Amino acid sequence: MEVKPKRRFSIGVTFILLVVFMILSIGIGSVHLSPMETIRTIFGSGEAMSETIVRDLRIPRVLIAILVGTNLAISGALLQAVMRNPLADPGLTGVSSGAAVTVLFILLLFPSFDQWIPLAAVVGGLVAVTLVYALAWKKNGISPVRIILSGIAVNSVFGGITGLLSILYSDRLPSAIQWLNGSLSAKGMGDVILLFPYSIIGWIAALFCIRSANILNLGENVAINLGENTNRIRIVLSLVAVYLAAISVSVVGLLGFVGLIVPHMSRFIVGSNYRVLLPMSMVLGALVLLLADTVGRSLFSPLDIPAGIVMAMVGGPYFLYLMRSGDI
Amino acid sequence: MTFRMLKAQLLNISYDHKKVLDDFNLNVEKGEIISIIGPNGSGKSTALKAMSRLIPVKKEKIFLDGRDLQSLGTKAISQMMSVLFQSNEPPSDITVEELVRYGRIPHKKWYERTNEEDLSIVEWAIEKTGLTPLKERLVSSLSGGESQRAWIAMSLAQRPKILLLDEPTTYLDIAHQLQLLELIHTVNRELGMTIVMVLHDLNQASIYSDKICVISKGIVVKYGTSEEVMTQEMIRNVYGVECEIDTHFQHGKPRINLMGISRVATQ
Repeated sequence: MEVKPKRRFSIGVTFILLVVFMILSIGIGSVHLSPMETIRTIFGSGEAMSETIVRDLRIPRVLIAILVGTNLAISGALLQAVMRNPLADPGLTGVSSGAAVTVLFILLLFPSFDQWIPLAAVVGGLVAVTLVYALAWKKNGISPVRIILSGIAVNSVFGGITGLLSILYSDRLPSAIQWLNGSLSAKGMGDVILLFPYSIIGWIAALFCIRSANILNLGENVAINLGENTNRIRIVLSLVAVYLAAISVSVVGLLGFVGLIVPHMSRFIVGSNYRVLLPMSMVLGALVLLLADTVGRSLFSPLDIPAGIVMAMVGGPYFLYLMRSGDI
Repeated sequence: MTFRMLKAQLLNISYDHKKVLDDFNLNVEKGEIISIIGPNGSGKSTALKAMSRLIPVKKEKIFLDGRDLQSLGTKAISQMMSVLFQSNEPPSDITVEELVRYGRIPHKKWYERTNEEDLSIVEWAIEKTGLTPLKERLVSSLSGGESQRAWIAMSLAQRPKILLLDEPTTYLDIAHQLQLLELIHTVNRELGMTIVMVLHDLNQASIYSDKICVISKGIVVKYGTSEEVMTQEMIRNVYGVECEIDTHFQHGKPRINLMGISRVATQ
């Protein structure tokens, strides 16, 4: 299918915006740098102190925002295709809360096994999403309403476990609090190096899902008529979505709304063809989370508001707006 | 032994312990137009779904062009058979041409891109369905009849040997109903495409089909030509409706004139 030039153009513009905000965001903070100074510092010809701040604190944080924003947006976009439901996202389908439980389990009980956190997150996410699917399954398939209802049930159970763990091990909780709120603070280059290869693998896998997502968009009967094994496609797309969301949760914790809202905004801008929708969601997801994190850490500076809290406060009303405008 | 285009043997399908199809049999010869008729809830659509692998069958046998449907992969089936259901919900921003192009998917490997041959088949399908002036339009902006033709164009682009249609004329006004049936008729005569469709209108079934299959409560009660099937007795027994039947002056097929509900309840 051809992609209209205008749509490519919107992706390009969003990408340029992303680069601009990267530079601005790196400059914003207790030590303020102008965009020119920022660029100079990035390329190693700035002052020594600002160089340390930029290299050790701000660049890792910006990169984490970009990686996580991209991952969550892809995850949401794929889940929305799998369920043909605009409400599907890593939060609703239990992926995030499932991943959070296993990660918190390791953080609080077995802190020395922290290299297993990404894997544990994927396992937790898979368990949760399998539960949601299984509960929503009825004879000939999964209805959107049942997905939502079973999502609520599974989320509340996993939320309960998270709460229980927090109380039982409250003495060890402070280290996990920032993480639970979806914070990007105190992320170093180590986290970037951990997340980057995992993310790239997920992105490549996601690009191979584009065709299937488009076919699922035509509806179950049409997809089967066109010779697609819809159950298998759904499982593959879900696996990629769970993987991307879970590795993100393992690094930054519970960060809602990105996976829900970004694919919506992207659909509004470039339409529903995943050949453009997916790349647009990737770029826009990075941009949205970068904005949320930058606002969160600069608005009440020196307080650092977790990006998850900013997303929740902005995302909720935006979601209502989408609902009112009839897109959902 | 000659292979039939489609052969369904003893289909038994139940929903929630309620039998929807009871030993359903159907033999469709190459190049025929078959209509399946019957009251609401008689199992017409279920039969179509089972024969097109949209609902799974277990022990039952369905043969497509002489080959066991269950031994064929879903992709291989999609190269031979196309099935269209009512009330499709395509993405709101898809154009007619984009939709029709999806019809080529069964013939493509996942890494293959649209080539010249695909494009000419897509163009042919759009032209055949009279949609050339509308091919840039959004499917969601089309009238019921136009959008139904767009879906048929997608099916044609599949280049199937057999086309299964579930109530293709429902929701259309009479002009569009006739236009669509004429299109199906043309496709059948010119391309030799076998057609199996579920219809509600008895006269349309009578005029446009080579054979008619009447289902009632999941059982095939009659199967044959319009003349064999369309009798006062059948319509009274199956639908509980009185009618008179004469011959259509133009087509020479039975014409059903409905009179009213039967006084003797047959249900």
